[in-house]
Amino acid sequence: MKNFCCIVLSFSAIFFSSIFPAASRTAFSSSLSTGDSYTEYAVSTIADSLLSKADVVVRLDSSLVYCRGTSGYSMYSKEVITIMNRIGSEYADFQIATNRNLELKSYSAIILDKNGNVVKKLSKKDLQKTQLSQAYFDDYTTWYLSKPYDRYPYTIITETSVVQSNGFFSFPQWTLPHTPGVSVERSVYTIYTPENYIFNSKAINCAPEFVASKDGDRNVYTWKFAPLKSPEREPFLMPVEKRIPTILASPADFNYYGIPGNASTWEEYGNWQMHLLVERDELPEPLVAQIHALTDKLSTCYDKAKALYDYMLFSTRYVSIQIGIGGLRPMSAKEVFNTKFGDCKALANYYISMLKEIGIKACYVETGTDCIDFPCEFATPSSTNHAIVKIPAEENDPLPDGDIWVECTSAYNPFGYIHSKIAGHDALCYYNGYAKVEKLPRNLDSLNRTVSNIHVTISAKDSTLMEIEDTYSGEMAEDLFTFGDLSKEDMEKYLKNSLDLPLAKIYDIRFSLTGDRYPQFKIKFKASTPTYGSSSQSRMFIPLSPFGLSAYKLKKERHAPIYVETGFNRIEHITMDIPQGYELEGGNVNQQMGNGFGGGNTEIKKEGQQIRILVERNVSSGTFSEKEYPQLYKLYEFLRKQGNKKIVLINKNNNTL
Amino acid sequence: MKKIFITIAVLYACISNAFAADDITTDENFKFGKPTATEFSMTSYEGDADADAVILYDNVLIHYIFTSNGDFKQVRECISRIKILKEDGLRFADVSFMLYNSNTLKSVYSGITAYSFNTDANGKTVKTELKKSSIFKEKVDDNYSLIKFTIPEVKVGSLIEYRYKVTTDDIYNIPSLSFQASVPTLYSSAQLYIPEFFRFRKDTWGYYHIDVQQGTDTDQIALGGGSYYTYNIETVKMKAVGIPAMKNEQFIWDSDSYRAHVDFELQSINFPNSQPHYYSHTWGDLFESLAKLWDYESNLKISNPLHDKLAPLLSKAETDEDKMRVALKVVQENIEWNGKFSIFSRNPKSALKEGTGNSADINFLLIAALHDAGLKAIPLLFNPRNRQRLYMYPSLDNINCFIVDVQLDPGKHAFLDATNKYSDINIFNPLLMVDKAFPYGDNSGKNPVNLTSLTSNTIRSTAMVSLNPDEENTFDIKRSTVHTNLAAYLKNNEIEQYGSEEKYIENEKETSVTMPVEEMKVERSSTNVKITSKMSLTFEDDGDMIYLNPLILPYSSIWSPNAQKRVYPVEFQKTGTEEIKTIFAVPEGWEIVDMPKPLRISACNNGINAMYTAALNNNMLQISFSYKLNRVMFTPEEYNDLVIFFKSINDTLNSKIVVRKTN
Repeated sequence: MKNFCCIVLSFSAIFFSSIFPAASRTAFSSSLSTGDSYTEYAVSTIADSLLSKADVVVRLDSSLVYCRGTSGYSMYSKEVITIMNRIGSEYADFQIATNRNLELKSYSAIILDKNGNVVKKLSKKDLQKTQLSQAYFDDYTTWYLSKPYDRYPYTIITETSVVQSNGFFSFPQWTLPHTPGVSVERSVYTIYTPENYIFNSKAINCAPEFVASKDGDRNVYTWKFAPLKSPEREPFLMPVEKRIPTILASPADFNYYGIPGNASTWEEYGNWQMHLLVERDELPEPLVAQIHALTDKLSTCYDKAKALYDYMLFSTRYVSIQIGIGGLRPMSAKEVFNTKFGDCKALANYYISMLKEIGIKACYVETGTDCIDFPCEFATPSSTNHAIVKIPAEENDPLPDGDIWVECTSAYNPFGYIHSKIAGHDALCYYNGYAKVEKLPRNLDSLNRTVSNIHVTISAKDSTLMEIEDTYSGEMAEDLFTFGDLSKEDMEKYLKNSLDLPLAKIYDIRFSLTGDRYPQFKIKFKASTPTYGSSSQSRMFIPLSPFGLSAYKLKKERHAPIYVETGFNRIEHITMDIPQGYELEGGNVNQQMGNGFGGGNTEIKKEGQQIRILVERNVSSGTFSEKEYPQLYKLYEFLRKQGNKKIVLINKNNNTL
Repeated sequence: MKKIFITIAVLYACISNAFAADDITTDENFKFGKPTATEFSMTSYEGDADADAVILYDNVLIHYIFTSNGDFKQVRECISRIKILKEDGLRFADVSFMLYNSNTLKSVYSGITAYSFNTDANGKTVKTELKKSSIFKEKVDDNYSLIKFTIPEVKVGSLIEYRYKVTTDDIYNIPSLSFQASVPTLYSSAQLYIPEFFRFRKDTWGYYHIDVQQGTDTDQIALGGGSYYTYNIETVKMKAVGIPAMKNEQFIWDSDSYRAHVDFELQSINFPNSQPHYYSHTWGDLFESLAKLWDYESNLKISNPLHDKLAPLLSKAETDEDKMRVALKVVQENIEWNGKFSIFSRNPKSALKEGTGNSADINFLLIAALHDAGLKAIPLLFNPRNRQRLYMYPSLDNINCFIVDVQLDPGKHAFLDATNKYSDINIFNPLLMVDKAFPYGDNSGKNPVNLTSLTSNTIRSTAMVSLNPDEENTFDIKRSTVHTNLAAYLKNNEIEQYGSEEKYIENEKETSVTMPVEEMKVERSSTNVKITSKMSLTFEDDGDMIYLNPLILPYSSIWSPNAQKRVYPVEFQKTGTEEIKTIFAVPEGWEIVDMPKPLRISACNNGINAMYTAALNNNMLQISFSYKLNRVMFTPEEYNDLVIFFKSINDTLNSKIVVRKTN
């Protein structure tokens, strides 16, 4: 489902004509109630270039926003989408979340067969609605319709209208669903504003035709997109925000829930948001006493902050309740103390309030798990969906490693560790009296590291025994933060899966998680497996490493730029005791390769009845031109072959068929 | 079933011992808001060290009240006491339950009370009560609302307790009562007090013992003027002690069928001075109810709305098989399934007009088409495999689907379902292949139909492998695979998932990792799918040796059971045979120096068997592999045999053929 459908609707012809100027009515002059045929939307009228590789063809995606000033807007949308097959069926689904400020005024749809004949009509009464919250509780009602038809190909024409009142931050974001499998034939976005109404707009990842005109006493701004054929399905695509054609538009002045503000810059928006944090930090007496009991005997700022963090993790839990302005304003520290739960905003505010009690200055930080870089000039809370805390080094006692960024909602995240869902993302930090966009730090690729020391004893008749010692650092350790909370059975299952040895017995598991900002997870365990590798009548075929060393088989061609989100290092030192009478077939091996995308190294050396193996692989994060793709292909071919490589042991006493 | 129960009873005894009987809170010693010292001090549960929480006490009380309006209402009171042992157990602090409301039936909740109990630094117990502001109501749809509350002050080590009451006009339904959860349950009980006017059948499910005691009591209705009407009450007291957590296992269609729970179905309503109403007391009653309540007979007897399309095809159909096939085809081509199973049809003809409908809409149309073709066709009723299994006795609540039973010569039947365009005679969605299905109108209910193995389902592959004379280090592989019957149905549907045959082929070409597909051709019908392909295998030049898979072709569809033990049966999707034959022309200058050992293995009374051979004749290596599943269900006692069986096959399939250059 394209994002846009979550916000947008279309229009009812009657409602529309009553409030719109004549020129705009012409632009949106369709009616779903007349005619039994729309031959212009027959599948045969779609250009071959748009049909190629498309599961969905967006024939028309148009919306018109009629802005009433800071109080709100009405939005009328018409979508005509041809669903070519079952894979594309979700694009016929409809969903919108409304609340007391966003009303769904009308909905109507018709479904056409492949020749453009009307086969089904839908109205608002056909929509289902639910208040079932995505968070623990919120005040939204979701209207939805899924799978309206099943005979492919078919076309659905949807017209909707919504009215936003009580203020807004930004106009609905116009996003073209230009993803693999989706072609777009025509797309138009129009905004009507009062005269002298100031707003900013920006086209991202696209260059649409833009026209500014007048219609009576209204300014009219229109963006039109040329046809776009379905892009290729490829791995390592750029993040959505850097790939999908988008129009952003935000008014300079806004008034949200009766609170006026300005969003011409992120800093201005921050000033508005700061008002929502005022007077949320009062602490009840018992908590004040508890804070002092926990921290008074500690000497450093770091230790005190950590002690309060540990206390918060132990005594609270994450529960998301979003009601009204509460979607932006945190629950007070007092409420969190009384209930011992809160969402990210509430827990961040609670933690800051506790720090304040002992003189540690900390700031509230908004960031986005879905947004790496905030769009410049477009300050809007829709880019953020998470709150954390920053303890600035320059405003507190010297901190050993500079600023501390604290995630407050996870019971497992080590103190000060910036997890991969937000690392490297933009963040809006609320200092005392001003707000500022900063970048959350991200680990260097070299700190995302796994080092394994493995001793394998191969037997010709009995089970293979292994002693394994792994150290996972940085982002490589993230999946293991919760390891200690797994049941013994699940720990064993996890290790068996990571070894790709379903029949193994895992025992003597010992592990530790150390370090806060640079966590290290160390684990030692033993494994015994009746099957390891395979054997023929006189040979044994042993994997290079007991851990599955897989790598994609990449296509040879590339169309889009390359984005590698996470870089890492993996090093395995393996010592293998081989059974008496067996030899290493093929002799010693020494293979290396490396380029800008990373590298790999394989060394196999026989020493007496032992084989010593070194496996290294590293991948670099970053953005690369598609022209550099042959180098990535080369790296992955090396890694794939490395993963498939087997140590072949031949029985010298029985080596003929 | 009896054998399984004995095994479980022993397990139950072991688990019960882990928490001393005296420590368990029961109906007799339970006091709301007053957990015991043992419950407070509990930090783990010996019976299941992995448990993230333990349900210490759980009780449901269901009774009926007679209101001043002269109506009965049903009251359900629920109480739970839970110990949180690990972080994941915190989910139990978020409690929710559903309320049903319609124009005619109203439900209200009341009396939500909840506490958390913690110990402070001084060892003193701190009791925190739920505030009303933490109770939320969400309207899920026009009829259902979700009531939610989140208990305050809950952390690892907390003990939580809550109760609530639901009062409803819906007196004819008693909700299913569960005695088993995702965490261990030390004590779970329920008491039901049902006025004599309502008779419910109780169906007990699962692998663990639920003690059920039934008795009678009396109650009175004040008639005014100091007189009373006295009536009997059926009392049902149920309890289960030491029930382990319900854990997920692979290869189970519906884990709820194995969960310890009790279902209730209304059998009769019999008020004084009123005509009694009987519901599904016998199969005859069930069919009668069905016919009356849902206008079933008129659905069964509709004229064929597809007659004009069927008639020309019927004129060419000679045999009953031909007639069935054309009737099926006409329905398949004119209406799409909306993904919903049902026994109710709003109106088959309207659904046809819309071009889409549920399984009942579609199969009623199929019955009409078959009648039009002069064949006798009736619904065959059952529950899909992913819903609760059917008992032998009649229960309308548990029947959610039907397909069509075509009665041919005496004793000869064919089964059809038109919800999928690739179904055929006796070939349809594996979800519908149940072991018990009941023919509509067979009032004895003694002739259930087993649909699990109606056809012989095979996948046969042959491959010719030869050295590519033009490219160094490359073998050419020409492969042909024929999927038959249900295997064809599954392959057809797999291809459908890609949107088109072309996209399927494109995907095969793009995603094949070890053996790039160069050419592929697909020929298919509903009973046969033949795929011929040309692939190339580029081997790494590792000295003078090449190591090939035992089948040379990639193969990965064999299960590797990874659990040490099995509690519930293993349920496979379908019976059938897979055969692979590969012929490898060993090129001049090469020799085979090593091969896997031959394998011939059978397990579970030949419920499953497999074979692998590789033989070298005149430089032609002939490889043969077959794997046959003769039934779909295997008991937990057979699990160990399955583990050994699959280990043997996997050992062989993981082995290598070693080829060496001789010059």
